[in-house]
Amino acid sequence: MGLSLYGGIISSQIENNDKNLLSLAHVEKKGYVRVKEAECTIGHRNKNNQQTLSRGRRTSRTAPIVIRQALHSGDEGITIWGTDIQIVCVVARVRNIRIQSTKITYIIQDITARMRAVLWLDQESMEEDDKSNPKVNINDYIQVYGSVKTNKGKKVLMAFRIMPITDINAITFHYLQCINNKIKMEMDSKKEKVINNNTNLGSGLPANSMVGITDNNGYSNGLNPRQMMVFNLIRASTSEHGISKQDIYASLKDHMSQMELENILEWMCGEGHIYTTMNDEHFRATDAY
Amino acid sequence: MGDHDDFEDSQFPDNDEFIPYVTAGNLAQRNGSKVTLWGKVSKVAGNEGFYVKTVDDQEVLIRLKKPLNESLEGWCEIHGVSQGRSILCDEYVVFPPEITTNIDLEGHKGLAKLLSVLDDPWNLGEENSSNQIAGVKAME
Repeated sequence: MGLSLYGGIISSQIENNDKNLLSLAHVEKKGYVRVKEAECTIGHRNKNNQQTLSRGRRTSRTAPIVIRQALHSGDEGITIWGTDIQIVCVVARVRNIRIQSTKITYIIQDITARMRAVLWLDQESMEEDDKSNPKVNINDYIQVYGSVKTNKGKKVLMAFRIMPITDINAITFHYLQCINNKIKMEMDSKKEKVINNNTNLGSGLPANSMVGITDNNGYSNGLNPRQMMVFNLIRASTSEHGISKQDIYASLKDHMSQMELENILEWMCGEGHIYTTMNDEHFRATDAY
Repeated sequence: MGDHDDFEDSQFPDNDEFIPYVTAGNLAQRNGSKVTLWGKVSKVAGNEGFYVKTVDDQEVLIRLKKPLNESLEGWCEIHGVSQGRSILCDEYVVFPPEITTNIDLEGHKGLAKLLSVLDDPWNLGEENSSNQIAGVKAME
């Protein structure tokens, strides 16, 4: 097809020191990048049941999408063929702008759909010489980085950064990237399914077996297989209070001792992978489904 | 404030209408459908509208519902209904000349072609997603 990659767009993001940017090298290899060591603050309760903020390490994925995909996504956010995406990038035209004291609501439209994007304003962004949010007019094409949220049942894009499109080819490139992404990840996920069907996670495994413990999502979070067993159990819990220590032990008592379980839980709490909920006995994972 | 918000929301409700990019080549096969076309203004056609040269180097007539009241120049994006060899224009957006200096014609042609041959290029394979937009009920 003779497509050339548009370094101009990407490099301007580098100039703006945008932590959420896509690096050109990564864009070439895959349709999305993992922002290395993206730090996020996770609130969790410590032993005294007080809310503390600690820095945990969470992989934050960024991907380009079209608005239709945002509108059709489930309540949990965007998932592209099994991979959760935290931050999305949309290229669209501005149809309407509504400015209020705390936020600006843009109606954005691309060739697939139309939705609202909200940019929350704070004191700093009200400064006149602030370059992070340039002036946007109706019918301008913009690139929006943000998160898809559901508000009163409707989807809205919570924008972190809005940039005007400076090269028309970025529009073409964006759609092509979305299509490329979808096809690649669809193929990857179908390959994985074939492999997983061959893995048998029966309960008849010997106590020291490590079969089937590897994480299917394919991201390494520094846990060894023993810790992963515990972590997966906690992550799978759907209740608001998470899973209790007794329940974890009951599921794993053939595989590990109470003492080892306690040590693993304590370590994972310290690392930020899990946190305690209503009391010290109940745990939830910090990136639960 | 509430009334005003409702009015604005009803002007531009969320919708998921897919209006694909086309080239002059695709235009005929999408007769009657909504399309989006990129073209460079070549000449004005009196009261009818204007002609544009597409990315695949063909002239297409853009019929306007109201007479042109401004001078048009350069690349623009036309949204309208295909009429075979022309387009009945709902709206057009003129691209600022500074962004179209290096326009990739081949790339856009490729995109239009892909969009015409791919069945469902936007399907993300979510099991729990519906084909409906969140918060909107389909009409009876």
